[in-house]
Amino acid sequence: MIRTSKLTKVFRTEEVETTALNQVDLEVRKGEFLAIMGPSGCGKSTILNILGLLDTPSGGEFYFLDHDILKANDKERTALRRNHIGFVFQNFNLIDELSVFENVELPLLYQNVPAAERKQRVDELLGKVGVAHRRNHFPQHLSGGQQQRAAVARALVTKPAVILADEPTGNLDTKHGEEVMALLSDLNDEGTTIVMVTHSPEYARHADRIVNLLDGEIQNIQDNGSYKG
Amino acid sequence: MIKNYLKVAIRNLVKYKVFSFINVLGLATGVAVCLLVMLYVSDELSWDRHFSDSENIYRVGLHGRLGEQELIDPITPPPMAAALIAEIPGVVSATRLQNPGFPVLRYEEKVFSEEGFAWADSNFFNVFQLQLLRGDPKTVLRHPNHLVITESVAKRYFGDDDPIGKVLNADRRADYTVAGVLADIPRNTHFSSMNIFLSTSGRQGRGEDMWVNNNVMTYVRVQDGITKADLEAQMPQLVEKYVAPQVERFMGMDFQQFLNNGGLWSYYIEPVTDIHLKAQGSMKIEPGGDYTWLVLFSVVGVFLLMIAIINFINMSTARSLYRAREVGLRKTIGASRGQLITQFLTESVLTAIMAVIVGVLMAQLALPALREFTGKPLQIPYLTAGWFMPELLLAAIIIGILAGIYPALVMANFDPVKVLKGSFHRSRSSIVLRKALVIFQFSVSIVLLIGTLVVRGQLSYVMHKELGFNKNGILVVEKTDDLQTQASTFKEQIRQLPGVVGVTGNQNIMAVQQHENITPYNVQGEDANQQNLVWQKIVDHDFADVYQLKMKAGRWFSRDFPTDSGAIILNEAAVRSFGLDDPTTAVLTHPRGPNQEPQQLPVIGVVKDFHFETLHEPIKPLVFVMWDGPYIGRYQSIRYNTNNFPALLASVTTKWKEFSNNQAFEHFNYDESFDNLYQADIQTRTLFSVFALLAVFVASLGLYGLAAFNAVQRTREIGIRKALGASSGNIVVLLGKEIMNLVITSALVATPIAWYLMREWLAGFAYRIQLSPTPFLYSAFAAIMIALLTVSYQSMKAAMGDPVRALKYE
Repeated sequence: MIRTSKLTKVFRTEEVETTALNQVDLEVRKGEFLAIMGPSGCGKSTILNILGLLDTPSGGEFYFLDHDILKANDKERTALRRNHIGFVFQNFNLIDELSVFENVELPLLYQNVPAAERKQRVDELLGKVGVAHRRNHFPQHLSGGQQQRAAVARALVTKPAVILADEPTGNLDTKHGEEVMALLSDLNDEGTTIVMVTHSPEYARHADRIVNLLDGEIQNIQDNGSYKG
Repeated sequence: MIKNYLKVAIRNLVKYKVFSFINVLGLATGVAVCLLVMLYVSDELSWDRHFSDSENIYRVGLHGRLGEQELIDPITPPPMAAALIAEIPGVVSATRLQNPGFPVLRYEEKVFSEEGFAWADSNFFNVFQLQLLRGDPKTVLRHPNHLVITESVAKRYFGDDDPIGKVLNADRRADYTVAGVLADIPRNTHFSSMNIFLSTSGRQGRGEDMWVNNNVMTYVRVQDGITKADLEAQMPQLVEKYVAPQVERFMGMDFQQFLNNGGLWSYYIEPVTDIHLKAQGSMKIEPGGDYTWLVLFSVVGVFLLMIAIINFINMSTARSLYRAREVGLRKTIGASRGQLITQFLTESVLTAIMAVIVGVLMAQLALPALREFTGKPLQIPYLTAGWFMPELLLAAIIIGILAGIYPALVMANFDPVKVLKGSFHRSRSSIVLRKALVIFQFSVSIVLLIGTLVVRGQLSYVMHKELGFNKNGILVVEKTDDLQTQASTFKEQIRQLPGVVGVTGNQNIMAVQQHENITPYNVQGEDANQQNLVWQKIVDHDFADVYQLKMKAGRWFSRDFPTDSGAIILNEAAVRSFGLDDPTTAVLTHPRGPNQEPQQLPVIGVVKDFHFETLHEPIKPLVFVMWDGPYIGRYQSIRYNTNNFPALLASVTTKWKEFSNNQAFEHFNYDESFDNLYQADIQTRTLFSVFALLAVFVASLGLYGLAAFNAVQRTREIGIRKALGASSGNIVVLLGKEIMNLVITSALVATPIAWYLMREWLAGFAYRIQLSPTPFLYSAFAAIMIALLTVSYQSMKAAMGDPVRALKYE
């Protein structure tokens, strides 16, 4: 479903050239839960941004749902992102000016989904992640866990092919972190593909495979043998 | 989708209250000013356009030069109109209007001195198609002594009675019959003060064939396609055919010689629609507008709106950092650039709509003041003009897009990876742009401040300059000509009243009412072709005493010298103009005396130069001539030296009632009327002050908003500086320095612009102040102080902040 080959990302400023990713070969299979681990600055976020079509690689090959991303333009990448990718961030990134319901609804608006269907899908997902009772509240009135669950709902609402989660538990205490991890596991069990960047080996254990990244290169890949295909 | 945009827009407006308030208030101020300026301008531009076929009506004027003096005025000789019809192709008709003064009209007990009295040719209402309520426009002015009056005049004399056929007596001499009634002439007509038109039929024979007498206004109506240039091209042949022979006959000059000596005799043409704003010459039926200032203040109005739009642009780009995360996120979940731009434009358009609503309210509130100020019954045409409401909406959308497009583009271009990571910093280019925009705002403000100071300085100079005579302590009684033979008795009895020092009868009131006559003279014995145009004033024995003129040489007219009625007195300018070494022994020749023969007039005295016109005009050569009739004057000027003015006025009023036969008592204080001559300049001063105030206000609003965002953005920098030992004072200086630099740059930009504009304005005064650095320095200093005060609150707040908290920020 996602495949990279010799994927390279180089950041250039006027004086310095930094290689963030070096010759990364990676495949994400349909329905898989993949965790990416590594110390700060190893390129975790960079690879997630590239997989999420927010950033473009400097070289190598990258296929997303059989589209050659290195040849795609901004408009095509926006369309792919809009329809097939859901994001979950460490700091939730809910829009303060929008209520929980409206935040979750937003991706559907950009997809021009009719109002009735939007309401039905949003309410269904809010129920699923357990924040239905806060649907008309604004993000700042919710706990961190609730905010992140709302963010997960927003990521899921377009029925994306893959969810990319960047340290989804990073800003949460243990209890709320567990809740969110449990939610992601459940979603994966139901067939959602997930790629998650994390610091925590504890949470990485929920994944089918763990990719260990160091200085922009893959050190090794652990397979927990739980992938069912 | 649009619903979502609106929802977010409204929530953002509510959330950032200060920001929204500044934007709406600033834009609203700009909108209000633009709207008011537009009302004023469109009114000024509407003059004389209500006549059908107005673009085919022109007025003829005279442009002449004799000696050093030049004359440009819309006056023409009586035979001009007939010659135009007969000899110029494309002229459909030509008609004449003449304002011979103001007769006193009587109907039974009703007596009024009529200022709007004019003689008009029988085809006047064919050229100017005014609405005739009674009478046939083709015939109504055909018969001698027939009158057409306006509805208001009819009401004044006859109430509800039928005015047709009623007889009005003029000056106890002639009877005029009302033959037609005209709807009141629209206010925006260059002769709207005319309200009584007397047929010129039967007046032929009084110099009807004199081409060297310029005393009527001539208007022509031409066929479609005939232009001003076409007409002007035909005028020299009229001069050659008619004027040249008469110059030789009546003025004793050879016309070719006259031209060779640098003389000029030509006619110019002006479209009737230009008369109000661009008329040449100073002679006007009523005061016109000033096209240059109209353009200038339209520009200033637009600049004010631009300043407000710049506030919006500046604060939106400054604030964009706050919204970076939102933008990044929206992009991440699939918003396209177009969708983001649409969203931000929705917000700016919404702000602009609110601003337009508030602006219209503000304009409505300011309207009474504007009406008072301009003397125009201006209205905001909410529903009377169908285009107005849609136009307002369109204006709001355009303003919204102008204000919103740059910030929208900036924000839509944010890189989501960077903004979501938080490693996002303001770009250099947007900071440079923001500074440039602030400089623009303050440059405009400073130009207006300088303008205010210079205009104030010049007006104060004008008001206090020594005039060469004493304008204070003179009471003028108007329209005394109807007293006729009793005028001398009236004058003498006023003279006897307690508190009265002197009385003089006048044909016109110096500078205030009408201009002096212009007439040619030459020095006796010199070449008759060397004539000089001079200004001529007809006076009585008491004029110099009442107005307190100072003699330079010789003496004033005296009752002890009966021969004085054939003598003249000059001012210093006239002495210079004629090149007289010993003026009191000189004799001047007037080419056309009472018997059409040259007349010799000895000079008996010279008065020191004094300002008989406003300080806009240089002191021109002036000749005083004695009035030798039994009585003089439409006015009596009374010099008094009493502190009890009300008692004086009461005793003069009582005297008036004894003599006047029911005519109303009209009077004014000379000094007030004299100061009123600067009304247009005083209006300029007010406009400058108001615009300067508004520009500074709106620019400061923007600066305040900008400072608020700036302080927040630099919180971390300030925290680090404080951690490294900077004092709060250091920080305030740091933040203030940036503003100082911007305002000083603005002052540098503003100085040459203001210098140029003010030099142009001052050039309109023959007597003026020198442009000194003072107003420039004061304005720059004021702008700097205002700017510093504006940002000081934010700077202090940032400087006093807790560095630990500041460092944790982000």
